[in-house]
Amino acid sequence: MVMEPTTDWRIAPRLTFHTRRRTLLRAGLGALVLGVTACQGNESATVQSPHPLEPIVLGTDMLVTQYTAVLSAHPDLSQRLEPLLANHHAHLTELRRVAPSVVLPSGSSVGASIPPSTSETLAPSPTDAATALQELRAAEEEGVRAARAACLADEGVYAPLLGSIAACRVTHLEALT
Amino acid sequence: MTAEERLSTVLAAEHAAIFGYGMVGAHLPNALRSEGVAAEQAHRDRRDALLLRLETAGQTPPPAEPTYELPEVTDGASAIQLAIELEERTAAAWRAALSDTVDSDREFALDALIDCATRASHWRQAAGRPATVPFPGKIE
Repeated sequence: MVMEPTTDWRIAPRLTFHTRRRTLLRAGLGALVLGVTACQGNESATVQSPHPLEPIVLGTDMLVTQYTAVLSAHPDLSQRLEPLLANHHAHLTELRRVAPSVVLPSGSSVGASIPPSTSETLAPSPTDAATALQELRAAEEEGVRAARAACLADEGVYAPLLGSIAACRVTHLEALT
Repeated sequence: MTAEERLSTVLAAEHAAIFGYGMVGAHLPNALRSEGVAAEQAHRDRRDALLLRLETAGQTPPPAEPTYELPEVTDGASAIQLAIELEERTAAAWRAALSDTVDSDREFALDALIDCATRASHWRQAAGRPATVPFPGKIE
């Protein structure tokens, strides 16, 4: 075994996740509509710009939801996936602590650490474990890109937290390989 | 803290890591020697980049200490444990640098944090411990 990182996440092709992106887009549009409505109802109200961590909070919430769904469908993967899910939970907890104004969408992972199998809030899980792991890996790659970009763009306050999250997600990629 | 001041503290951490890997490499099991060599080289590369960065900015980089106080290393297990600590300490130094740097300095710091986190993860796995931690570089 050579200790060189096996995943060059910087040059990996950009993956598309329409479902998650649509969810993010809907969340963003929803916030925009709410802001506009607030203005219409009260002219003195100001439209608040979204918290800079909002995309990362929502993306982390989706990772938790996706891991939870896979674990629900494939409990045999628990030894491998639960430590990674615990890390994502820790990220979400910390992110919500520093960005309490971010509203999670309905169907959020929060409070659903062990979901009921009939929960409608969870994304559908692939039927076979190999596909599920492949999709988790793709989601982590997207998560690395997002956290890395947010860290580099941050004004400085949140950069250490975002850097740690990016680094953690890179280690997840190896654990999922 | 200015970027140069912060990068000087990171350089001190990289100096210590290079020293520490000398001890690690002497006790690692044969199967892990190449990983130890690669890790030490990564720290040497970052040290050299920091030296160049600071000298270009007109700073006097802190030199390596003649020696560092290390935990006792007597076998493969204690060598791996020291490797974990070296990576975690340098990860902490690079993480701290993220808030004091911008642009290419921050990108370099982020890449370094990720590299240290990845190597620490490998060493933890070699030690039979859980490989990942939620916040690499964060001092609890």
